[in-house]
Amino acid sequence: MRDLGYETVGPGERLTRGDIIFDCPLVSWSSAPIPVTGSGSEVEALKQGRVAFQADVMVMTQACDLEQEKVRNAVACPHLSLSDYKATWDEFLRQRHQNPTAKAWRTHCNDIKVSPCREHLSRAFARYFMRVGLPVPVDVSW
Amino acid sequence: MADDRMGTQAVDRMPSPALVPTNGLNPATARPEPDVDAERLRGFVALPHRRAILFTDEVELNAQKLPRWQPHVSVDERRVRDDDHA
Repeated sequence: MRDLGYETVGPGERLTRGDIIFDCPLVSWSSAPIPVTGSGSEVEALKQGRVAFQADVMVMTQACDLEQEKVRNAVACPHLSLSDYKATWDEFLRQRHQNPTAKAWRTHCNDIKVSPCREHLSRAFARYFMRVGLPVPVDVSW
Repeated sequence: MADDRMGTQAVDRMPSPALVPTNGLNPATARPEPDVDAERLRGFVALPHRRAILFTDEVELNAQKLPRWQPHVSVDERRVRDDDHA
């Protein structure tokens, strides 16, 4: 993805925010707790906790940080096809006794059709992170 | 002096007025040179960071045999409510 639309880019192109990588090999840590039994075993425990998998992902690291090589690693988020998401959305609406009409779907997708899509993605990512959530309810009378 | 009250971090980093270059103008009317470095940093300072590397290891992956991971899909209820009022 380079301009307003989508296009296939070669492996030699620099990564930028919004790029989608299909079948990306990834290394992460197992979601299971990593047991550390004693001093000196942390490294072995970490090695045992490694997992490798592949997934479709979207690059979320800020474009200028990538362009100016300010980061060592890139942040990626899962990419989901619109058809897969729509199936979940249909089911969600049916559970709420609502009819998943074509018009409702168009309304739901309004914001993802906004161009330029890379900027819109960045704004959505920022909105996600700037949510304020408190670990305890606020019960103070103001 | 109004500029001083509205000072940004770039202005905060200015040297004291006694040291500000005045370009030969009257000190009372001369404006300080902009701090180019502070403008570049835009309020962010990169602190020196040392990371302790626990281990480095080469990982050999066979991309053909890697298990596929599928994300859990969830629909944002608040977004659906917003759709209802659109």
